Amino acid sequence: MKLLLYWEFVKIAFRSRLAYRSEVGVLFVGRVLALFVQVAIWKALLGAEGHADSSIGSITLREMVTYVIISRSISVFVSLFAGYSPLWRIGEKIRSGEIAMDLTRPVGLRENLFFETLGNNLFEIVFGVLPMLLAGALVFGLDVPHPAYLLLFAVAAVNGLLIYFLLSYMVGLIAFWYLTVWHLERFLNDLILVFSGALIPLWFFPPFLVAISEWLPFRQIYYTPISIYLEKHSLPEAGLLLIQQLVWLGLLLLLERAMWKRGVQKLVIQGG
Amino acid sequence: MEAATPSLRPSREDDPTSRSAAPSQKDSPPVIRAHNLCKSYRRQTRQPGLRGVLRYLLQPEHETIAAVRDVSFEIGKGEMVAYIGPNGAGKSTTVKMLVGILVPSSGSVEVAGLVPHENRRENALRIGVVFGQRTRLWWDIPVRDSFTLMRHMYGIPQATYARNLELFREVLDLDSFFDTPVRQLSLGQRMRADLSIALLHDPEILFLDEPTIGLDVEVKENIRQFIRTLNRRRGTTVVLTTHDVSDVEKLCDRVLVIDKGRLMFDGGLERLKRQYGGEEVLSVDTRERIAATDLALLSEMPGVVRVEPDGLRLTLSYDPLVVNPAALIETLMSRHKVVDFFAGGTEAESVVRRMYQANAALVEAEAEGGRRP
Amino acid sequence: MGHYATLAGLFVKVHFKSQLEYRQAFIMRFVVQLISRSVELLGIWILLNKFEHINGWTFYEVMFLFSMNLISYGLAGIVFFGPMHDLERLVRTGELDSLLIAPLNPLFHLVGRYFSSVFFGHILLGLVILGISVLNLDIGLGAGQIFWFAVVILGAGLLQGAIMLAAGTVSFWLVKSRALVNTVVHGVRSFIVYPISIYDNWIQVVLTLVLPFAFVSFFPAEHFLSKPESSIFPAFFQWGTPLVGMILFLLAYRLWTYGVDGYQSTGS
Repeated sequence: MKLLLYWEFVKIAFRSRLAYRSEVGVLFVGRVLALFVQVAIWKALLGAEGHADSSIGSITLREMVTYVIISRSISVFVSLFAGYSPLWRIGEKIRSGEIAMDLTRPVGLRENLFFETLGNNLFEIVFGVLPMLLAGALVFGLDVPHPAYLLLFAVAAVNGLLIYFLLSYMVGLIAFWYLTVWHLERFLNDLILVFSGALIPLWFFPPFLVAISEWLPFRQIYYTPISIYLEKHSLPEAGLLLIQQLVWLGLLLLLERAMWKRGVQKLVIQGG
Repeated sequence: MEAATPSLRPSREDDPTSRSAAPSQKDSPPVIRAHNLCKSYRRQTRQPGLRGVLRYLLQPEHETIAAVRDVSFEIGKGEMVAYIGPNGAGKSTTVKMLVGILVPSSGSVEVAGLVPHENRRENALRIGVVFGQRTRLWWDIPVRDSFTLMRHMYGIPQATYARNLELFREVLDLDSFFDTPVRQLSLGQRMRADLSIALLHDPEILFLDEPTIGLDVEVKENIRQFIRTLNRRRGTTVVLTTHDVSDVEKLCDRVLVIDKGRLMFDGGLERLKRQYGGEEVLSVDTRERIAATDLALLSEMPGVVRVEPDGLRLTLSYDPLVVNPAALIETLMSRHKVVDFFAGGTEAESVVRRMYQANAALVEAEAEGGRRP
Repeated sequence: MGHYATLAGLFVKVHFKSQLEYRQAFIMRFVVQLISRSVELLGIWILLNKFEHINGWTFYEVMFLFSMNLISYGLAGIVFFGPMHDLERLVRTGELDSLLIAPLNPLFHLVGRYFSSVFFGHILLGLVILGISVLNLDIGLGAGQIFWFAVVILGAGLLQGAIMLAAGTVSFWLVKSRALVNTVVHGVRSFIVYPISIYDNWIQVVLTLVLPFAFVSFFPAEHFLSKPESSIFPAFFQWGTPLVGMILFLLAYRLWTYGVDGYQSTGS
């Protein structure tokens, strides 16, 4: 019953997204351009030798190209520039007072927003990720890992998406206390950009930045899935990484529940 | 319910301010001339269903919508003209062509001797425009600063500016909110400020698009009074689009009615009433509620068009050519305990409603029957 | 013309008066911008800390490129980013009509009403970065060099402004044009973070002749840093920025007027 309802959310979001077909085309072109930039940078950096040393051993150019293509595909989900994020949505709902309506609904707002976001991303998967993977594979060449790694990667990528969603959602919840949160979106995205390994794999980072990144959840979104994809860990290690992701997810969920409770309490007491 | 209309027919004829400064369009040269004016848009269409979606993505189709079709009229200097019609009838499209922000698809338009869209900036200096639902004021700063900006934008001489400002402050009571940021103003205050900045540069013609929408009765009256004064003292030509028929009754002698892009009527309000109206209204207050059977009897009386009970008040619409109001009142008083009665005269509202209905029928007939005889 | 100068002064005054009402938001935007751009620089540092140079350009040389890009982007952003960002909404809601009924050049009016001084942060940060890179590089600092740098920055500002203007003008034809503005302005701009000589020839051609972002920083920086020519284009391109900026801006302005005319013939 509930699943059907969620499916409706997905469908509605998908449809409202469809109205902006020119936007989708433009975004696709933008993403392919970004692909070219990234690949060219790595070619220039690794060019002469075709590989480079890193904290986890030698990295080849072909591996970096694969890294870039997978990273850009994940970023379609994460939509760094799509401007349609859970953060913004929840922030708007709180700011406008629409949140009061959501409290009266039988479906949790978090789930509601998640499936709505998924609906948006579903469109991007069809018209964003697949063509880009294809373009990347045809133009630059894309390594495909052993099926076991591919499976672990898929799980890790989904976990990463959930972690991103929770982070964005939680920053949006700050609107309960501080009304305009959209500045924070940029800030969050910047943190993600550096510490997630979205553009530069953590294995090229200086040690002190790696140390910082280990205490932050952001690496779970890009670095963990992609390094699994590239078979940079043994299978048991990769399994441990998945557990690490789940621990992060659990922690974030606890924190999110606590924020939500206090926020709603504040809303109820002060009447918004 | 509307506020009770005064007893007996309001005698507007005695009120000199209700009449335009210029007697009629025939005596003065036209300041606005529209000739066979047409405007059509292209719009993307989308069919429902998955196939529609695919079509929409791959090969969008367009349909052409004629918003204004073959409209011609002339407005003389100093006239006050109402331009009315239902939503989407083409009112704002016409006004946009007159103020120079839309280019006609065909036909010609001339305002104060200029073709507006070819001389947008010169035209802007000769006209004042108020869009009732949008403000031209700067949102976050005091009203005063917007005035200063407008003064420089229109290059208004200091003397003119001072004279106008004084007039507006006095008549429209700007002082009470002149130093308040616009976002804190009430709708009525904002409208008064918007009206003032549209008039700072002494425009020859004033275009008002829904100027009284959402305002309370007092502010509406204040604004109407102001527009009448302006018209009388300066001979400013006023073109008004509105939904509110009382705007028309209180301000304009001439009405242009547009529906589905066509000009359906051009003439005086009285003639509009005679042609389409005929309906008058009588309200009575009774001591006791009138029983449903009695209501049915009343509505069957010859000439009675509609019977609308509202608590202890009963409003009868009737055709004055068929039944005499005196006879109607007599009948009512003989059957019920009448406390008070009001003869409201012709309701322009009902005239316009009937007219739209007539037009709709006409358009349908035209569509079905092909060519007109 | 004097009338426009007075008005420009008034627009600026009114702008700051309005911003005072939203002090907190203004400061937040300012800070967020600084952080955002610094993070970009951090990324450059991470890479060049590891690899030491990219196509023969060191970290400080890339910083120099970055500062030119940032300063000219800030200049263009102050004037055009806000108006072009809002244009989509103004067209959709019909608020643009209110601007068109004034006896003013509509672009001037639009800029006067919606320009965003917060982009000053880019210029500030750009100057700091420029300072740091110049101190760590061996660049001749004659009066002539400084004058030419100023001219180049203005030309680059015009160029970036032209791209913003052209991308924003698309609002007249597409309902949702923000994606385009973002993609073109942010996406293509990301091409010039590093020297364009790292790209395949066809991308270099696009960045030089089609969307000539290479003139914003790469070509003029080659001159200031006395880099050996590494792109596929002749040396005189190093002097082209002001001219290219002006030509591109005129073209963008033509597109804008074409867009306004179109708006006037279709309405919305």
